[in-house]
Formats: sequence, structure tokens, C-alpha cells
Amino acid sequence: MLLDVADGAFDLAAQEKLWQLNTKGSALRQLPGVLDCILGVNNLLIFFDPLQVVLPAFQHEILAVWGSAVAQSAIGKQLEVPVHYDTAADSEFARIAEHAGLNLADAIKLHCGGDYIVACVGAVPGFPYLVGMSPKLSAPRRATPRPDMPKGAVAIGGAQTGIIPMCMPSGWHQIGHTELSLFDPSKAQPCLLSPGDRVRFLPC
Amino acid sequence: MLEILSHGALNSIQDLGRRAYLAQGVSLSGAMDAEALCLANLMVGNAPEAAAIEINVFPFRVRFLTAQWFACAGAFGQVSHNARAHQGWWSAQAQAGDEVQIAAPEQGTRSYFAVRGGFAVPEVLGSCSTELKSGFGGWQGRALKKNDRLHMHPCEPLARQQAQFGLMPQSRLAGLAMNPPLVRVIAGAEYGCFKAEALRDFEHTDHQLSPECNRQGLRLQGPTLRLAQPLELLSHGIVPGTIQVPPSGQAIIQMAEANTCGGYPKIATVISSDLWRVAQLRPGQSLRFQVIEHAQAVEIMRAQALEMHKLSEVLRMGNQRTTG
Repeated sequence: MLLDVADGAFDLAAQEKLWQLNTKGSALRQLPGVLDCILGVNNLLIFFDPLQVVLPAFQHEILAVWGSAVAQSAIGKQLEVPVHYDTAADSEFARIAEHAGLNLADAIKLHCGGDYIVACVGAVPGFPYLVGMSPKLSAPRRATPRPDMPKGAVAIGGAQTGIIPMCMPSGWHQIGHTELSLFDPSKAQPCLLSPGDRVRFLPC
Repeated sequence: MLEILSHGALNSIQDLGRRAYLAQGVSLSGAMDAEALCLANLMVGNAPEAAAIEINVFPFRVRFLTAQWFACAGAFGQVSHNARAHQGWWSAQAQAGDEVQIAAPEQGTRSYFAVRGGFAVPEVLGSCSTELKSGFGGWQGRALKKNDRLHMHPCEPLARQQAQFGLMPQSRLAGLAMNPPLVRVIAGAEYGCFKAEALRDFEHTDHQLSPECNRQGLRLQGPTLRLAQPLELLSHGIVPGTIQVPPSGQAIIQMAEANTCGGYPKIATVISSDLWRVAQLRPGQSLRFQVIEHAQAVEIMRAQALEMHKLSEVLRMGNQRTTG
């Protein structure tokens, strides 16, 4: 069941309430029948045991819990991500800069001047959905995804920017790369970033 | 211990998946046909969720290096133990040096091969499943290859009265024989955002599995399903069984190794009781969707859980019975 509180553009205050509902031992997670949750962008997917709950009473309980959720701001850590920006004249970043009416140096400044917040982690292991990019740097996704976006790529897709945790197909545009590893399955806490973390990009 | 004798780039160790890390973007993974994996394990007296081999490429051949009980379930086809061939799901005791071959199935597309004790592979993030997309878990984070030697967890021998037996669950045989197979779904969050003709076509026209089908998802070819108006959604969690409709209008059923989040409109979700039917379809085959109410889905789930419970009791008794 999807608790969808989105109303058009991304709403940080709503996301902060979802962070609270998503924490261990929250009122939502203690509802009988709730098995697990996946945090999205302004929404929360709730796994429940259909043999244990009765609809629509269960939906009413969830809405009641949402109604009394308290925003949980600044819950995360601050992380600096060193980035080698692509500065070649024929790079994808150069095209994005041109589209924004900027030279590459100013585009880098704009990208690393942002305070980014990890709204949620998902799609592929450790991938952070970052919000807070200047709308000037927005670039529509590719019509056809490229098959081999490399691990560590720093990329822009639509109004979002992100760091690619592993080689994968992607419709985003690469603007640089980082050596930072976002996902290590051998660790008990395999993901470097968690919802609520703050990220700054540092050119190197 | 046993040795893999066949090549098969898509045969891998699976269990029931790694639920604990979904919120961090790690796919559920696990068996595509979870019910068949559970039954194969129960046939050899294992816990239902023990690690077994999911076979997607046939023929599959192994040689036992030590004596052990084995079982196969899932698709229906021929299972040969040394020179003797059997039909359907099969369990027997293999001696050291014995060879077992599972031939290309006559019905269905995936088989499960379980051994007494379960395969001994390290747990990664709480599961023995292989995550083929990211390359971790299972056996060395990859599909099985010829000459791989797999160990089993040590455990007590079975005290079976029958050294070997077959199993043909009637409900599954009937499900596989339906033409086209009926897949029951409940309406998705954006169901009402599709055009009326799209909703009619969704249920009343066949959808064919395209060649682009794997453990991540099954791309369908069928009527073009159009939204009434373009829709931009923020990324949200998705599950195995979610049916997304990208702008092409051709539906995609998300499966075991699906991404944990996506952004395409969701027309419906396959009920968990019918996921095995979808998992056993092969490219080129058709299916028909039927939209049902949540309450009906719960009833079907209850009935299935009861059937599974009865079958597991029968298998438990059979594996415990001593001779004489």
C-alpha cells in the first residue's frame, strides 16, 4: 500500500514527516500487520500482511498515524563528495552548461554550490535521490538509456542530481565522477548515504 | 558435495530473498516461483526457505560427490537419475557418483533443485540469494558454471519409508494448462488514470511475453495502454508483481530482482498467489489479466496458504516415517 502525500513538486516538510514514520519503532511500524516500508520521494510504500489486517480500517489507521506525524528535520550526517567534473568541450556537462547559458566553470560552481538532501535511497542499492539542485541545471532524461553508466558517475536526470552506485543502464547525463563508494554488501550498513543526510560536492 | 556439469548463465542459488534491505535499494531477489522453491525444500525435509538452485537454462546436470537426498519442483518435465527417467516433480536419494539431469520443461520455464540440508553459501545482507544485477550473494555473487562444487549444510539423514517419490500438484498443473493462463491482479494506484479503452483492452486482450524477460521483469507485447492525460510521478517503492506502463504503452511486470523504486504509472499488481503463474511463462506465451477486488485476493491467498500447509504436513510425515 502506498501512502502518497505528493502534491506536484517535491515538498521537504512532507518528506521530513515521512522520515519520522519510517524510523524504527515509529507509530506506523508498530501498527499490527505492518511488515516493512520503502521510502520514496514524498511517499512511503507499506508492506503489510493481508491475512492480518482488515481494509479499510487499516487505511484509516495509517492516515491517522500520518496526521499525527511530526517532521524530523536534520536527522542525517553531512558528507562531502569529491568530484572530478567532466570539462571536455564535447562532454555531456558542456551541453548541459550551454543549455543553461553558462560556461563550464560557472556550471561547476552552481552544481557544487548546492546543499543537497538525500530524500530517500533506492531503485538500485545505495542510490541517493538528491534534492536541492538549481533548476537551471535541469536536463531532460535521454530518450534511450545508455547501457553502461559507470560506477561513481555523478549525473543529472531531469531536476535531480545523483551518484551512480554501480555500472548500470541509465537515462541520466554524466557530468563527472567520484571515487567514493556508495554501496558495499560486505558491510552490515552497506549504504554510505541514508535519508536525511546532507551532501556537498567538492570539485577536485 | 555436488558438482555442476552443465553450463547455464542464468542458473543461480536462491532462497526467499532479502527483505531487510529493500529500503536501501537492494532488490528482494529470491526465487521467481517461491512456492516451488518451498515445496522442493519440503520434499527433502528442509525449512521451506533453504537455499536451492533456480534453473532457467536446460538441460541442467549435476554429479553427486557424496550421497544426498534431492528434489526438483517448478516446471514440469523429465528428470533423469542415472539412466532412469521420471516425469514431474521428483525426489530421491543420490549416491556418490550419481548424475541427475533436468531436461527442458514441457510446461513452465523454471525449475528448483533442492538438496537435503540446503546449499551452504554465505549469507549476504541476510539472505543466500544471488543478486545477479549487482553481483553479490549466492555462490560467489554469480550464476553457476560447469565444474562449480557446492557444499550442503550437514544434517540428519531422512527416515523415509519411500526411497523416492513424485509429486504432481493438481492445482498447478491446471494453472499451467490454461490457455491463455489467467493472471489475477488488483487495481494499481494509477488504474483510474488510464483511458477507458485501455482498461478494457488490459483485461479483454491477450498480452504476450516479449523476448525481453529476465529476473528483473517481464516486458509484455499487447494492446497499447494509454493514459487519459500525461502523468509525472515522483519515484516510489515498487514490488514484484507491480505492472508498470511506460510511455510506450506496453506493460512491464516487475519480478524478483526488480529495482526497489520506480516512477512509471502502475495499472495493476499481480496478486502474490498468482506470481508463480507469471514466473513460469516463457517469452512468446500469452496471458490474460483479470482485475479482482482486494477481498477476493485475500480469500485466494488464504486458500493457497491452507493448501500449502496441508501439503507440507504430508511431506513432513512422509520424511519422518521410519520403516517397519
